[in-house]
Amino acid sequence: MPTPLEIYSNIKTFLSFTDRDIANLSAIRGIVEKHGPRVTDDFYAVIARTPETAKFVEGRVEALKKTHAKWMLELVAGDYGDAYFESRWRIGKTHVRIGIDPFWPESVMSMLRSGLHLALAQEIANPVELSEKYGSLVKILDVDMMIVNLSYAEDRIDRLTEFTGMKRALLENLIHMRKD
Amino acid sequence: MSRVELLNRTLRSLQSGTPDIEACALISDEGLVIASVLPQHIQEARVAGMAATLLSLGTRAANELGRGKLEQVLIRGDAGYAVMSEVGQGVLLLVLTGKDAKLGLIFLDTGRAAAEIRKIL
Repeated sequence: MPTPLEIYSNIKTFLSFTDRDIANLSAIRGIVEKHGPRVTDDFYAVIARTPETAKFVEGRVEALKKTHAKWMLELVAGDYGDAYFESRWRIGKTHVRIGIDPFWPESVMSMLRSGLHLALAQEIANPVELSEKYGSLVKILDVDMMIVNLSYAEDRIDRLTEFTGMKRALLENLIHMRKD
Repeated sequence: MSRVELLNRTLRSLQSGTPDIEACALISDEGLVIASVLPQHIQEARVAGMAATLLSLGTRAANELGRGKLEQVLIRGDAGYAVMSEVGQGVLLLVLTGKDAKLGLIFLDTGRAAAEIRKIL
C-alpha cells in the first residue's frame, strides 16, 4: 500500500497536473486575493447557520476565517511539493480530530468550487482562458479533497487497529480481499 | 529440506497423528497462509484473514478483560471446533476438529506441534 504522500504524487500524475496548471494557478492569485474574503465570508455564513456545522465554528469564526484565507492563498501559491501535501494532511487530520463527518468537507468544497468559479468569471472575460484557469483550480481543489478523504480513511484504519489489536497489514488484506 | 517443507511435514504429522483433527494451518498475524493442510473447499485466504482477526481480537479482549496473556481462541459450533493458538513470532496455528474431538488431546498435540514449529521458524 503506498503512503499518503506517494498517493498524492501519483494522483497529481494521474490528473496530469503539470507546469501549465501551476502557471495557471499562480496567474489567478490576484483574483483569489481580491475575491477570497467574500468567498470565505459566504462560506462561514452558511456554516454558522447550519446547526450540524455551527458547533464546530462557534466563538472562533474570525480566527478560522484567517486560516481559511491562508488555505485559499496556498492553492494559488505555485508550490505543490511535499510541504503542500503536509499542510493539507494536517488540515485533514484536524477535521477528523474535531469530529466533522466526512460529507461536510465534501459539501464545503462544492461551495468553494462555485464561489471561486464566480470570482474567476467576474475577472476573466475570455471563455477559453476562464475554462483553462478554472480547470487548473478544480484539479488542485480535487487533490485537496482527496487528501482530506485520505485522512479520514487513515483515521478509520488507525481506530480499528487501536481497538482490535489487528495489524494494519491484516486490515489492509481484509479490505482488499475479493468478495467471492 | 526447506523451512516450508518442514512446516508442511509438521502440519501433516499433526493431522495424521490426531484423528479428530480435520485440518490445520499456519497463518501470519497479517492474515497470510504460511503452510496448510486444508480441505479443497475451504478458501485459504478467507480462513487466514478470519483466524488472524480472531486471534488479534482475542489477544486484545484477554488483556482488556484482565485475563492475561492469550493462550488460545476456541470456537465451538455444532459441527466441531476451531482452535487458534499463537505459536510465536507473529504466527498462529489453526486447528479444525470434529464435534466429538477430545479437546485435551487436541490441546496436547497442538502444543507439541507448536513447539516443533517454533524450532523451525
